[in-house]
Amino acid sequence: MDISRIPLYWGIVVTVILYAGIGLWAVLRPKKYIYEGAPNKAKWRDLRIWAVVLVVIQIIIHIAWGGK
Amino acid sequence: MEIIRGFDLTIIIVYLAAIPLFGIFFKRYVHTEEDYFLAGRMLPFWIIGMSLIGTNIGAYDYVGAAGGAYRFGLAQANYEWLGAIPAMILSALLFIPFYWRSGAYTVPEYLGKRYSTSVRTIEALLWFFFLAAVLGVFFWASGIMLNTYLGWPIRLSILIVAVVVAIYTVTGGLAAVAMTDVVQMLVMLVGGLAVMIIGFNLTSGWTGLVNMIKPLHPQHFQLFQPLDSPDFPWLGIILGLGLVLSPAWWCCHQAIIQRTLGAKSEWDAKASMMGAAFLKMFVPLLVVLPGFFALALCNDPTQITNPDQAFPWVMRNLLPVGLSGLVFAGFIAALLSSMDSTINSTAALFTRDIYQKFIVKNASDKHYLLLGRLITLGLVGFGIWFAPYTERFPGIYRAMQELLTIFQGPTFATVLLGVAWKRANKWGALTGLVGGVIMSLSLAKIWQPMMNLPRTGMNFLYVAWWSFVTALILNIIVSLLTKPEPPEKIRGLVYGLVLEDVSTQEALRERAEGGK
Repeated sequence: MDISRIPLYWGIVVTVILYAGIGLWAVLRPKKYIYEGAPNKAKWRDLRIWAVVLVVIQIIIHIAWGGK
Repeated sequence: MEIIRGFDLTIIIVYLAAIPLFGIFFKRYVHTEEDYFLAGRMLPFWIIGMSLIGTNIGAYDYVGAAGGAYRFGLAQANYEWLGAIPAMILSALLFIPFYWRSGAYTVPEYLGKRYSTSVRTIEALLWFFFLAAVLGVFFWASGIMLNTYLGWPIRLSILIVAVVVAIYTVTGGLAAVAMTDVVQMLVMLVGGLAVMIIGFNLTSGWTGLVNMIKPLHPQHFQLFQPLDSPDFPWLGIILGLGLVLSPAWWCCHQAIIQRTLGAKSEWDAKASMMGAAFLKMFVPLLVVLPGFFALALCNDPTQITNPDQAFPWVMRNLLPVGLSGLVFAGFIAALLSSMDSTINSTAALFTRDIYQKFIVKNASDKHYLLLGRLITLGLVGFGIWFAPYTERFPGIYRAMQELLTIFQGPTFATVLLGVAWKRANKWGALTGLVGGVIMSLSLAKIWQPMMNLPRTGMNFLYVAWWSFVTALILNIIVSLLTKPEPPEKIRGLVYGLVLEDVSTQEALRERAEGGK
């Protein structure tokens, strides 16, 4: 099999899956683990939300500029 | 031809004088080894986050990444996005909590607690020599830039930068490094925004920029390049950069992790890395766009014969008098913030993992503090001496990447299994680490450029991947064939073992207090 013939869009597909997987993994972390050491449980301190925002922005960037 | 003159030069000289003075201010907080190497564990997340990005954007980014964008296009931004963001999330939510709870000062120290002294020592030596070599790259980059912009001799430029960085790094330790990094990050940001605004003004915005470049370079506006691309094959980017080099950098790099260990709480340690990831997304605007501007606006190819000249060209031809000094101060900020962190963390490695472990055990805090400062000074001297040798590599940025490749894959495999798999043991780690480094050396043939021989080694992205896979497989096989680590030894150091129970917390506290 000649791997150089694999279309470029598969790179984008794999990347989107990778980001989505990391986002899902982050969301599934226990709340206690995420807030460990935090002075309070304010919503903005929930690092799972930070992770989801990062992942969504990155997925958009890769879909827009990944290549054709 | 120098680019910086008159008032711009005054700005730069004032900046070079002010940074060490600001750094020296933090000397008053340094009384112990912990103060020196971990800033007394008092840093909030936002300072660490900005400092991490300050360290991450170095001279090699301004020169090398702009050069990479000039030559390869948007693919260069892979280092800032796919080559950073996933790994930073992983680092924040998986690795940092275990480092932080173990009470370690260095990544090798964590590996010593998790595996054995042998693994710790090998890792410490690898990191020590790598970071010392990277210092050479930084110093050489500083020499080239000051020579290009100010017309100063390269050796003299290196010496001036070395004196400035040594003054506050030796005296103020990590607190000075982190606080000066915050100032330097802001200066970089202002300088980068100035270039961006002027550049877009000249190209009539993003659309104009695309229209000027795309007809001649159709692939310059896509992140992924075809598989037959010699420099950025998309599979290599995903496997080598996304899955190995980038996690190795953000999860295992001593200069990065040490900063998070200076956090005032575990949450701050984690949040610092996540906050840095948000800043990281904007880094291409600072370091990639100048390469595009040079490509779009330079009509005379003889003015940029080497891609690394793209950023200097932008400075020389696009910026008006007054802004050049500001942007150049941003460049110096990038340079200093990377150097100071590298120097401080290399000194921490030597002091904690070599000197305290094998040479002088159980000495006073003052003794180790003094030694840390002396090692810091010695490293600056070594960087000055080693700098000219880095010229033999093709491109400053690539030089650093190639040095990283040799042991980043094996290191990441060792730390990953250490954190994530309780069955991994010291024999598996040792075999994987040594086997992975041997695999890297045989595939990369990194000695060839140093001996002026033509390169025949594999693309470094694939070298990273295969050395990682080799280390991972060897670690798993040997661990399964040998005895597991006793649970009491690895409690609190491995994911999946209960962290919150009383006995685990007690074990962690004992390690943190006594484990050197």
